[in-house]
This record gives sequence, C-alpha cells and structure tokens, in this order.
Amino acid sequence: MQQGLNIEFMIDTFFVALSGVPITLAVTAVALLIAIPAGFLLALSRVNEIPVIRQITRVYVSFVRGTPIIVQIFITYASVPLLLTAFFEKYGIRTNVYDVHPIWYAFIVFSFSTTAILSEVFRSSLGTVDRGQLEAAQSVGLTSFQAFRRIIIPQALVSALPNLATATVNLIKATSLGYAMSLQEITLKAKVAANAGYNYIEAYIDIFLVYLILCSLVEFAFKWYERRASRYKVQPV
Amino acid sequence: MLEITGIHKSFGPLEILKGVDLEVGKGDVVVILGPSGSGKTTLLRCINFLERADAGTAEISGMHVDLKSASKKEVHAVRQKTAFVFQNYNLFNNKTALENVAEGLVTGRKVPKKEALETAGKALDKVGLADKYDAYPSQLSGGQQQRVGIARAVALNPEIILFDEPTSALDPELVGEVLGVMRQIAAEGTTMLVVTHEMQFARDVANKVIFMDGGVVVESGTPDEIFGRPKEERTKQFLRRVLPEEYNYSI
Repeated sequence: MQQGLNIEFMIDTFFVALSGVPITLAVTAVALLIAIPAGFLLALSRVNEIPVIRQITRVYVSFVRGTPIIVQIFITYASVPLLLTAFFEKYGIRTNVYDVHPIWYAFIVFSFSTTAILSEVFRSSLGTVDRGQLEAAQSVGLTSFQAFRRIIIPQALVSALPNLATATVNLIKATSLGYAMSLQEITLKAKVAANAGYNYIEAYIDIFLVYLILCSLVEFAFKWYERRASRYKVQPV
Repeated sequence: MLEITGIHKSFGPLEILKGVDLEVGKGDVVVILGPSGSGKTTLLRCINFLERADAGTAEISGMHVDLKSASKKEVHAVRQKTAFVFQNYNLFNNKTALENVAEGLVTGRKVPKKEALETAGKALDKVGLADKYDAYPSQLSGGQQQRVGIARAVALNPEIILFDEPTSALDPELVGEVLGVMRQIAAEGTTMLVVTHEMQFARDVANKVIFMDGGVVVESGTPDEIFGRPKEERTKQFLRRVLPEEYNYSI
C-alpha cells in the first residue's frame, strides 16, 4: 500500500461523489415535497386537537423519533417487497418486485420519517403565532381557512424556518444511509470507487467535502430566505 | 340596531354571564363599566362569536341570530356587520399598516384591491397615521398600533364597532391619542359599544352607560344618571373606587 494520500484519486473520486448529488437531492426534494404538506396537516390536527388523527400522529411521531433511520430503512427494504409481491399476485400484475429501483424505497422511508419530524417543527411554530391573530382575522370577516393562509401560515413559516433548515440538512445527511439499500447516492458512489484500490481515506474526505458544501449551500439559502421573509420583524425605529 | 337578549356564558363551572340584555341604538355610544371579572369582555366577544354563548339571541340591524347555535354562515354575516378593536391591538404582524386595514376589505369582502387600498389610506389618514402606511406593527408605538386597529375597524364601515378595553394595554401617555380618535369617530355618528375603564371618556362621549357586575347588568342609564345619581349600592361602591377624589362630591 502506498504512503500518503493519493491526490489524483481523491480529485477523480470527488467528481464521482459529486455525481451522486442529483440522487441525494432528488430524495431530499421528494421527501420534503411530501413531508411539508403532510407534516403541516398533522401539526394542524394536533394543534386543533382533532380526535383519533391526533393520537395516531402522536404514536407515529414517537415511533419515528424513537427508531434509527437505518432500522427504518432495513424494515422498509425487507417488508415492502413482501407486501408488494402479495399485492401484485392478488391483482395479477406481472412485475418482479426486486426490479423496483431502490430510489422508490428511499422516497418512502425518508418521506415517512421527515413527515414526523416536520409535524413537530410546524406544531411548535404554529404555537408561536398568537391566538389573537386568528381572532382579528375572523373579526374582519376572513374565514378560518383565509386566516390561516394569509395571516397565520406566513408567520408560522417564518418561525419554522430555522428548524426547517436543520431538518433539511439532517435529511440530506441521512440520505447517505441510502447506501444500505444500494441507492446510488454520494456515499455509495465514492465508497464503490474506493473499493478498487483501498483508497478509503481519500474517498471519505471527498464524501465529507461534498456533504459539507451541499449542506452549507442549503443552510445559506435558508438564511437568506429567512432574512427576506422576516422583514416584518424589524426593530422599532 | 343591536339588541342582545338573555345571554349566558360559562367557562367550566364558572358562570361569567348570567343573562344579560343590552340595546344599542343607531349612532349610540354605549359604554360598559364594571370591575374586572364582571363579564364585560366576554359579552363583547360573544357578540362577535369569538366565544360561543351558552344561550342568548341577538338582533343586528334586522338580522336575527341565536348566539349559541348560529351557523357558520350566520357567524360570517354578523362579522360582516360588526368590527372589533382588541385590547392587545392584534394587528397582523406580517402586514404593513395599510395592508392591515385593507385585508378585511380585500379578502373578507372581496373589494377590488385598488379601491380597498384607497379606503384603507383614508382610514389611516383619519386616525392621524398618514405617514405610516408602510410601517409594520413592530415599528409602531402601542398608541399608533391601536389607532391602526381602529382604522381597520372603521374601514370596514360596519354597523357597529365593538371596543374591548382599547386603552388598557397602553402606556398612560399614549391613552390620550387613542381616546381622541375614538371621540372623533363617535362624533361622526359611528355606533360604538365600548368596554373601558376610562371614566372621563364614558362621561363625555357615551349617551348610555351600563354598569355590570357578577355577570349581570346592575344598572344602566345616561352618564349623568350613572355618575351623578347612581341608584344601586354596587354602582356607588364601584364609582367611589375608580373615580378620582374631585369627582366624589357629585356622588
């Protein structure tokens, strides 16, 4: 084994790792697109104390928070094909479940866990909007739906942004666990490249850098948007 | 104009309103006085359905509603005829002063945006905030915020404006500007139902004063009757406590 870092390999592998970014972002984007509205609805069910849904949400949230994502991945990756096989057989669909692209499993697992996390984020942020805002909106003739859309959600969203940024960054990092179901994202691509010449350190540094850059960019974008969206919170002049 | 009959409201075992009747004529300024916990605020909130009464009916400019079982549509209709000024202003934090005033017109009443902004501007001019159109609530003093709150109510051109202790959250030196605006809109003939602790305002502006205690109307009459010749012992006690010394000789 050679001494020191193989810089040339490191540079090459950096671009290999980079080529996993679209998959990582696709999983992140799909998970967020599903989790933001779903999490928000669940948060509303808890804030407005809607029976049954509220209890189910509570159990669901503690289930997700109380189990490692890697375990959720193992369970999904092992059980969904079985369910699908049964389903396909019942309805006579001729598809081999083991041909299903792993990204679909990633969509399921990460949407499932992110929804739970975001429902908590939105629940606390809805709590920061004073009840008087809803009352004032209703008193000037807005329906509850209009009040939420025009007054409450815009304010709740602003206070949710820091936590939403954290959740998004955590999600991006968590997608690295997709390698456990052979999802061709950043980590797996770099690791496979490293396997050939045992250049693991170089590959890990590459992975490290790619995530660092990606997460910093996302964080920066959130900061920028937060500043823009919270312009109304200017200090008294 | 507004007639409330037999309104009851309890919070758990605590009975706040024990059958209150109330009448406000067009152009009247009716002030409700009473110690805290007497149900004044709850009464106002029940009229605007911010709380659901346990019993009672209301007649608002020809429209009859049951305060307990009114449908969503009826609640909406009542809110179209009334406006509310809150103790804590409750301005929409994410909107400028002008947007705050225009919101009810644009979203609630479907007034075209341009027209709504014009109406909102006029309302802000009226309360002396012509230079604060684009200020967010966080940039305004308490007195200014409450004046926006009043402009928001006035712009809707409601049949009646309900004021819930509009000056109670203000620093003493800011109370005057808000009361000034209220006097002005009262003078323009706005029908007002005001819960307040400002005795001077009640004396000067009201044409009817209602004294509430323990969830019932103890006494009502003209300011002269209530402040000058109160009949009920509870009214006399209350006035002795709240009126400054120099007024006491008249009691």
